Amino acid sequence: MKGPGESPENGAAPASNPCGGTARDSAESAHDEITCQKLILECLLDYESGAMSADDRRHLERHLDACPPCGNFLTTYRATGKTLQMLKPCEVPAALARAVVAFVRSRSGRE
Amino acid sequence: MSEGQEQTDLDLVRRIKADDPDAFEQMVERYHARIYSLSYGVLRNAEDAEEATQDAFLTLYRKIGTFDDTKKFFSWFYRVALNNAYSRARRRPSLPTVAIEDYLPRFRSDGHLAAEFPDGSIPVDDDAALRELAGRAEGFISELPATYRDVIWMNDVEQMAPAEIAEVLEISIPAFKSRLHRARLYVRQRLTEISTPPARVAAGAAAPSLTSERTNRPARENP
Repeated sequence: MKGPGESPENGAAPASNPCGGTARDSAESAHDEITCQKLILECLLDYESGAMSADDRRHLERHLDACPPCGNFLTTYRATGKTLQMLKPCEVPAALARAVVAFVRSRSGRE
Repeated sequence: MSEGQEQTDLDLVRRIKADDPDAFEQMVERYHARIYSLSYGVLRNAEDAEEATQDAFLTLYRKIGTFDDTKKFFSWFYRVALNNAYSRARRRPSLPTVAIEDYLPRFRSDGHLAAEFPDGSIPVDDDAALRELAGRAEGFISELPATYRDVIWMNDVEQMAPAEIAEVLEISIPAFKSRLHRARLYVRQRLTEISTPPARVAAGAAAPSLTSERTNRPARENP
């Protein structure tokens, strides 16, 4: 059931502070620590779901404030979430429960 | 899930194992809508979903003896229903699915977005337009490979808890999050493509119609 090319899988993500500075970033200025790629592919879901520390959020927001394309991206990502919230579970046929019980009774017999 | 004097799933399971027909009817009443919806997410067709639901409960009735009472009933039964729906889907002519990688954002080697987005517009302030887009979004979800489709359907439409989804699909939480995010990125890309007037694209307009949303972050983001 693994999706092609997906990551991280099975806890393969960095153990902590996934969106914060890394050893590679440490020599860079604070404003450059998060790239668009890291922000969009690795951090956005946690950022939007609130599953991120205040420090990490501030870190991310420094990039968002300085990067109009990422700001744009966040806007449309949120709009997508709002659109998806309008999708409702499909309408269940009114007589389905009775039909299920009748169906099973007509074929009952356990293995 | 339990209300008032309602019995637990396990109580009902034990009574069904003891051939109590009332218990089976209660189980149908409790789960038929969720199983139908789960099946519909896979099959995208009301008639198929209804038949898959009947089959799932028939399997439940016949195989309940194999259910280990120490496990969670819902995840066992959801797996039964999902496998049932997958099996029914395989018997139909398969519909083409998209290559999700083709729709994910592209980046330069330095990690910056590869291009300005000319497509940054989704009319979230217009409920009627949004409902129409939601209908299109459902179509986009149905084009996804099953590994992504089922995650976004269960999470964003069925509103199942992440831990439940990961358990039913037998994947880790990080894998669940990765699939959900990629599925949303795909839907985002498709929605922005269809909701941006061609003139704006032609003009290379990059500003979204929702710039106000940028400042509308949760309060705790700005301590």
